[in-house]
Parts: sequence; structure tokens; C-alpha cells
Amino acid sequence: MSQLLIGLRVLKRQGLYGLMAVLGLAIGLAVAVIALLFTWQETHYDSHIENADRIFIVDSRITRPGRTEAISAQTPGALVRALDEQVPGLESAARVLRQWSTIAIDDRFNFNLEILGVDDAWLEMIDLPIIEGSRDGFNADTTAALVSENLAERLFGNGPVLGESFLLDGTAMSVVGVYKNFPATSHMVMDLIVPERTPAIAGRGTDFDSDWQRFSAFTYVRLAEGVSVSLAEQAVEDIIHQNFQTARWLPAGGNVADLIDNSLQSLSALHLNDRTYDWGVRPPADKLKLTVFAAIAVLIVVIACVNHINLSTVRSIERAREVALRKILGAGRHQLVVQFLLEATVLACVALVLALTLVELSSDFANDLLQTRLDLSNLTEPSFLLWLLGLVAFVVLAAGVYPAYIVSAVMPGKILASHARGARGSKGLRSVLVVFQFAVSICLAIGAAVIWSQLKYARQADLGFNPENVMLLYGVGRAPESAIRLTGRLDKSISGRPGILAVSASNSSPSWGFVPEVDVRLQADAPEAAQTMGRISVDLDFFPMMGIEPVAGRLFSEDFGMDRVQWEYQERQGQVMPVVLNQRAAASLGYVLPENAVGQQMQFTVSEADDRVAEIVGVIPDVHYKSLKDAIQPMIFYPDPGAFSVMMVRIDPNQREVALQSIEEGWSAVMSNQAVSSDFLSAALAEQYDSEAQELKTVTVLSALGILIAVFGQYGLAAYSAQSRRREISIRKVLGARVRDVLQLFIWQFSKPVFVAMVVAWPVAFYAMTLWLENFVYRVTPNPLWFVLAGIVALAVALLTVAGHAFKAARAAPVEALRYE
Amino acid sequence: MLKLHNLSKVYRTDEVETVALDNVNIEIESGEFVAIMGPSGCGKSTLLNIVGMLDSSSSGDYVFMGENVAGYPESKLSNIRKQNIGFIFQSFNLIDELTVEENIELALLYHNIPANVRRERVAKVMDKVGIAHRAKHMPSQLSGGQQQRVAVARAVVGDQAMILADEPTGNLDSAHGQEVMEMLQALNAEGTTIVMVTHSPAHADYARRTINLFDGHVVTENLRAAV
Repeated sequence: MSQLLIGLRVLKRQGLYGLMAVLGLAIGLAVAVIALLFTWQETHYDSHIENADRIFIVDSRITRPGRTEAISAQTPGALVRALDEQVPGLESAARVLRQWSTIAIDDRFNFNLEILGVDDAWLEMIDLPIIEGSRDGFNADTTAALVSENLAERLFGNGPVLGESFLLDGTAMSVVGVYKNFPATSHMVMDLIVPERTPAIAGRGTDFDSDWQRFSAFTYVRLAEGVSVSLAEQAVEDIIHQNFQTARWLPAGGNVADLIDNSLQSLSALHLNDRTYDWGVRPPADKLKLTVFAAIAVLIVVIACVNHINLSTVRSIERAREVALRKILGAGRHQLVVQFLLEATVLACVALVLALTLVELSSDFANDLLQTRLDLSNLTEPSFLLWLLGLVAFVVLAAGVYPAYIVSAVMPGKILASHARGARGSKGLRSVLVVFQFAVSICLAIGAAVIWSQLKYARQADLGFNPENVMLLYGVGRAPESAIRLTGRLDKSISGRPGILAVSASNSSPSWGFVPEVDVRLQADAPEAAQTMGRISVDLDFFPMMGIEPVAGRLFSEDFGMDRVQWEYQERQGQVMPVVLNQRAAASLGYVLPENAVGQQMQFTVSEADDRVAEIVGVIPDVHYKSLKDAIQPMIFYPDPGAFSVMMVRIDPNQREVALQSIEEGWSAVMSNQAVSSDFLSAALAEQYDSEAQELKTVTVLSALGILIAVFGQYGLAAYSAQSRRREISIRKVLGARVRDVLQLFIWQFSKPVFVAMVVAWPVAFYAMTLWLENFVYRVTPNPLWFVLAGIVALAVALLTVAGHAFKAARAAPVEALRYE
Repeated sequence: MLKLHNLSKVYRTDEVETVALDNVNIEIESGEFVAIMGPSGCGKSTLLNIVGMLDSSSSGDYVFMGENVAGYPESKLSNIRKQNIGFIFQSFNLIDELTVEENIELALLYHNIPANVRRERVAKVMDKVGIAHRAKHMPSQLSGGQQQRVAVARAVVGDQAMILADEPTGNLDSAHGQEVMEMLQALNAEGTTIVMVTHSPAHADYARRTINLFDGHVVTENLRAAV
């Protein structure tokens, strides 16, 4: 107890030192706590669901020869009905259907939402926690709805919820229950749950109970405890292989088993597996991000400890007399070590309390930085508390043992007899630690600069088309015949309204990062010569709307019958289809000079059922239809309105508001029951680099934190140095050194480690950032200026920090020090 | 060489006013060897510090080589000091991290003297005080007498006209003490003005004149017959 009191008193007496030590440590700990919380959350997905380790989603890996492999969390809808005792240990099987629908209440609401259509087995399996109403016999009434607390509040505010109704794709639904919000750490987002036979789902015409062709439903199974997952997995896969109907895309003589691989993924492992599903399940934990973040957090904690070690050993100069006296009074080294460790513990605990406050205050910022929602209530989870305890123990050991060892080693006679000097042997280690701090900070600063410039480059690069002032309208994808009609009607309805410059449509936006593929070969070539290229279906206005000019031949136009006829679903069958290639496609077909490609005929094979003869009518430059992370691929643009799934509208930037209004009106004149869902193309393109922007933020913040903590350390060292060099400086002054000369001494002393840090940091940063830049096919080269600049910033910060002490030392009258030393 | 006229030094804290020097009048001629004596706290060191321009007076005049330097700013004093005055301290005040040679060279470092000239002069003065064989040693490897010899070398390497010595023999045994005194005497014989604070009457006898201080006043001045 008395030692605890001494600890607190010591902290108080140290004033600025104490504050620096505690603050530095608190910042380090706050970063560590956030890192721990984040890691803990990422590794505890769906832990709120009981038996999450025994509940599995059946996923499917689909490998079609010559195509990119697809991984889906879905299976054919009929699977759930076929699962029976063939699957060893099967306790229960459930199905979830998921789709986008429109919710409306009078004039107040009209928005799109992903909804879940579920069976009763699923509700029971995940034990959906109802807080109001009931989920019993949910599927008996096809217009019943369960809403999350979030959605309930959004729709009905604070008013009554049970029994209230809303329109779901035009059908009146009635709320029978409200369930507890699912945490952000769940594999699915679910705000609205409806019976699977509700009109909004059943009305779309798929009979899921007999669908063995498409991967259209999420299938959940719960296995008994202790059964072999791999046996069950094999059994499920066998059932799928036996029943799957593949006529359309099974190659001749092929085997279903070669096409489809199924596996069981438990809910508790789902977030940590390496599978990124095409839809419906949250993307898996980014292990690289987790590792990098954890590593950086550890670095910051280490720097904070280093700092603490520095400040503590520096402090020993003042504590030397106390230690000597205690030793003379009979304290053994062991007792002194305990005393110093206790002091370190007091300091660590004070810092931890401060750190938790910092975490609380900065949680919004941290959420934004990590793109997550940190749940601070996890802080009180027993297993998390254990982690925290471990952290404090680590800090106490790391930051307490070394100073305790050094300070307690002081020889009492020496201290009391002569001028107090404190521990000296640690000078080498201290320099290493300072170099380490600055090296890390410089590395991070360079990282931030490189990421920033690559982002700037990516966002401002000439993509080959003009993405400004283009609105994307989503949700127009339909079966071919109705897609032709729908996009045609929308085009007519929106075109010509005020503020609208051009209306176009395509099967893919450049912002999606996804281009469907097609096999092509020149008519003259053998079938084996077929190559896979990207295919973009566009309407006749697409190229002028995007500002793309041909390098050879022509673009699509009303003036050509072969172009126009593609809008006639029946008449176009068997006609030669005009296509436009990018230069890369022309080159890979053997036409280095684009002019030579024009007029050539080729086979255009999307699938066995969709095989056309196409004529190359033009060649355009290589435009970036994917992000700058991907190489431009050979691409074929073809006029197929049946494939359209997105409209693109160029608006007049001077009449923005009017144009947006026009789109709204034009859209709802055709799509009365579906709200318009839109985005600016330029904004959507920028989103491609969201993760890099996020990394930039993270690295910037961490480097700032690193520098801040290093500043604390530097400040302590400067104070120590000014103190311990007093006599030397006095002598120099007596011998004629001016204030300038003494300042130079200090500047050199505190610049040296930063220079060494630069030399250490530069190659490391260069290597790391070269690796990072490899994510991008189109990238900047690291500018040496950033490396120099990062070093200069670190140097400036280091010198500003010590300036105060240096000036004080340089201007002190020399007599005092000389008289008393 | 220098002249103090009605010179006073008062230390003030919040509550106490301590008069360290009270209307002191002293004149020292060029080439003199003056000892200052007196009990602890009589103002010896304060006087020496003011004479050495390490400290400033509260009132009165200090004329150094015909120039009244009282009230000069630190930078100006520092300039006059490094041109003309060398210091020797009781505790030697060598810098632990520098070799003997470097410690001596330090006194030339702030004089804009080219490196080769500096080395030459350091070598010469090391020979003179008999420490050349220890040039590369660190101060901690030397005996007290040797350290003080280094300090003497450092004080004169810049051809200073005056040396101020604050109990130069205080930390030395009698044999080494005598050695240092003889060295000072030899320097004086070559024309260097020496002002020395000492407790030892025997060492004060090396000086041509002794000034006795008591409570900040000059009480007696004894002139010794020429040796």
C-alpha cells in the first residue's frame, strides 16, 4: 500500500515528466485496445448465435472450363428438400432466399432494401431473438413480416409497430414481430424477414422447391455435436451432383462433379475463411489488413514502451539519491526492483484508464478508419478482459523491468559522495530506441505519401472516357426480351427532359470492376484458336455519350441497318452483329494496325445457346473499363440491348438539380413500383479506391501517432541531456562558446539519430511501398522527394521538440554548474 | 590591466538580499600575480567570476584593458573573455568524453583558427606543461595533478593575457599542488597576468600581491618584496 502511495506521489512530483510518460503510454495503449477490439470482433463473428460452430452454410464453387471460377454461398433452391438421413448427423436444414425489393408506405417511404425470405426451420435454427410480437407459425401467413429494431424505428419512429403495414413490391405486409438488431459482426445484414412464399418473392416466378439449375438459395444445415463435418459435406455434395441439371453449360462428355464443388462452412468460421462470395455474405476478414494493423499496433505499443523506458531511465538521475539512501538503509536490490515495478504498474493503470477514455472518445473516428463498428460493450467480455490484463502485464514488464534494473543497480557510495550522475550505461540502448522510433515514423510517413500520390494518380488518370456528370441508374436488368423493351422505354422517357444531355445503356459500368466474358475467334481460325475477351454491350449512344472516338472504322449508329436491327428481338436472330474492339483486342487477334481489323468477321460465343457471327466495324483506344489495379484486357463492345442492366445518363452540370429531377420523373413514369437507385459514375469510380483511401487514413493517423509518441520521448531525452551536459556546456561557454555554438551541439546530438533512422527507414519503406504499389498495374513510381521530405519532417519535429531545452541550456549562466559540480 | 571601481554584487531572492561584494576597488597591473584570500563566503569566487566576465556586477565600474565592460551584453563579454582570459578551476572541469588533446583544443575551437594551426599550438603547449605523452588519454585515466596540468594548458593555449585560477590546488596533494604553482609562476614570468583565489597561505606566497576579502570588503592588501 505504502509503495502504491509512493508510486502515485512520484507520478505527481514528476510533473511534466510524469504527464509525458502517462500520456505517451495512454496513447499507445489506446491504439492497442482498439486493435485488440477490432481483432477480437473479426474473430468472433456470429458468436451471438448459439451453436454457431454447428450451423453451416452450404457453399458452391463453380468451375467452368475457360472461365473464372465463381464462389457462391448459394445452392440450388431444391437442395433443402432433398437433404435427409443420407447426410450423417443432420439435425435440421433451412433455406433463405434473398433479394432486393421496394418498401413503400404512402408517400412517406419508397426505398430499396435487401430482404430475406425464410422458412420456419431457419428462424428456429438461428433462434431469432424476438423482442416484441412473435415468430410462431410465421410461414402460415404469407404477408407476415419481422422487422429489426432499426427498420422498425425507420418506418414507424416511436409509434406502435406490431400490426402496422407497409407495401413490399406492391403487396401489403403486416408486422408480426420485432427482432433484436443483428450485430455488425454477423455474416448477413438482415433488416426485414418475410415468409419465403410471400408474393414479393413467389411472384417473381421461380419455383425454388424444384429449382436444380441455378444457385438461387442459401441453404443452412445444423449438424449434431461430434459428427464428422467432412462426411456430411461429402453427402451434401453427392446429393447436389446427383440432382443438378446442367444441360445448358455442361461441356460435351463433361461431368457435374468436375463443375461443382460444395463445402460446409460453419457460421463461426465463415468470416475467417478465404472465400469471397459473389453475393449475400459479408466479405471475409481481410487477413492482410488484420495482420498489418495488428503489427502496426504492436509497433506503437512498443514505441510507447520504449518511450517510457527512456523517460524512466532519464528519471533515474533524479531518483539516484533516493535509491542510494534506500540501499544504505538496507533495501536489497530485489526490494527496489519490486518498488519500481509497482510504480510502473501504477503508471500503467493510470495510463490504461486514460487509454479507455481515449478509446471511448475516438471510437467514431476509429470506426471510420477501420470501416467497422467497434462494439465497446465487448470490453467487458471476460475473455477480452483477459487480453487487457495481458496487455497491462506486457507494458509493465516491457516498460518497468529495464528501468527498475538500471536504477536499482546504482552504487550508493558513488552517488552520495560525488556529483549525482544517475545511471549511464544505458546510453547506447537509448540511442537505438530513439532511432527505432523515428525509423518507424518515417516509414509510415513515406507510406502515407506513396499511397496518397497513387490515389491521386488513380483518381485523376485519363481513363479514355469522360466520367464526369454521368448518372448510373441501376436495376434495369431483365430477361433479354423485356430488357430491350424496358431500357427502350426508359431511354425515351428520360431523353429530352430538361438538363439531360444523353441517355445510354450498358451491361456493365466501368465502376463495377467486373466485365463478363466471351469466347471469340476469327472466322478463318480453327475453333481451338478461340480467346476469352471481355464483352460490353452498349447502345448506339454509348460512345458519343462517353466521349470515346474511334481509332479506325466507325462506331455504332442509327444510320446502319445492322446496328438498328439488334433492337428487334426476333429479326436480329441469324444476322451478322457489328462489334467494336479496343486496340488490345484487335492486337491479340493479330491486327497490330487497327485499320486491318475493320471488316473482319469472327465467331462470338457467349454460350452454346448464344453463338453469333460478328463483324468488326471499328476499333477504339484502350479505355479503362476496370480500376487501375487491373490491366486493360482485350474487350469487345457489341450492341445487345437484351443484356443491358445499367443506364447511363449524361447531365448538364449547369442544371444539376433540374437534371436529377428529370431523371426521377422520367424513371417513375416507366417504373412506378420501383424507386430509382442511382449514383454518379465519377463517385462510383472513386469508390474503387475506397480501401486504399482507407489505408491512407490509417497510415497517416498511425504515423502521426508514432511521431507524437516519439516527440514525448525526444522531449524527455532533451531534458535529460540538457541536465547531464550542464557542466560540459558551461566549460565550453567559459572557453568562448557562443549560444549558437551550444545550440549547434544540441542540434547535432538530436539530429544524428534521426539521420540514422532515415538511413534505416528508407530501404524498408521503399521495399514495402514497392510491394504495395504492385496492387496496381498502372502506378506511380515512388518519388525520392517523399523520402527526403519524410526525413525532413521527422528532423524538424525532433529539433522543435528539443529546442526549448537546448535554448535554456545554452543561455544558462556557466558559473552555477561549474561551482557546484 | 583591469580596474574595479566601487563594484558591488547583490543576490536577491524573494525574501533575502545578500550582498556578496560591497564597493570593492581593486586595480591589477599587466603582468601581476595576485592572490585573493579570505574565508568561505567572503565573495572570492564572486569577485573572480566578475573579473572573468562569467557574471555581471550589480553596480560600479569594471574597466578591462581601458574599456568599461560593466553592463556589456553577454555576447560582447564572451568575445572579450575568449580573446583575453583563461580559466583554471579547482575541479579541473575537463570534459570526460574528450581526450586530453581535444580538451585543450576546445579553447581554440571558438576562435576561428584553422585546424592545422590549432594542432600545432596544442602540441606546443602540451610539451610546455609536460603532458604530451598523454595526448590521447581520457581525463579519467589521469591523476589529479596531470588533469590540472591539462587545465593549465587549456587556459594558456589561446595566448591569453590573463589567467584566473579558482583554487587551482584545492583538489591536489601538496607535491602536485606545488608543481602547478611553479607552472603558474613560470607563466607569470613570461608576462601572463595571473589572478588566483586560494585558501593556502603557502601558495599565496607565490603571488606578488595578496588581497584579503572579508564579507564582501577588501580588508588588506599585502605587497610582497620582489623575489
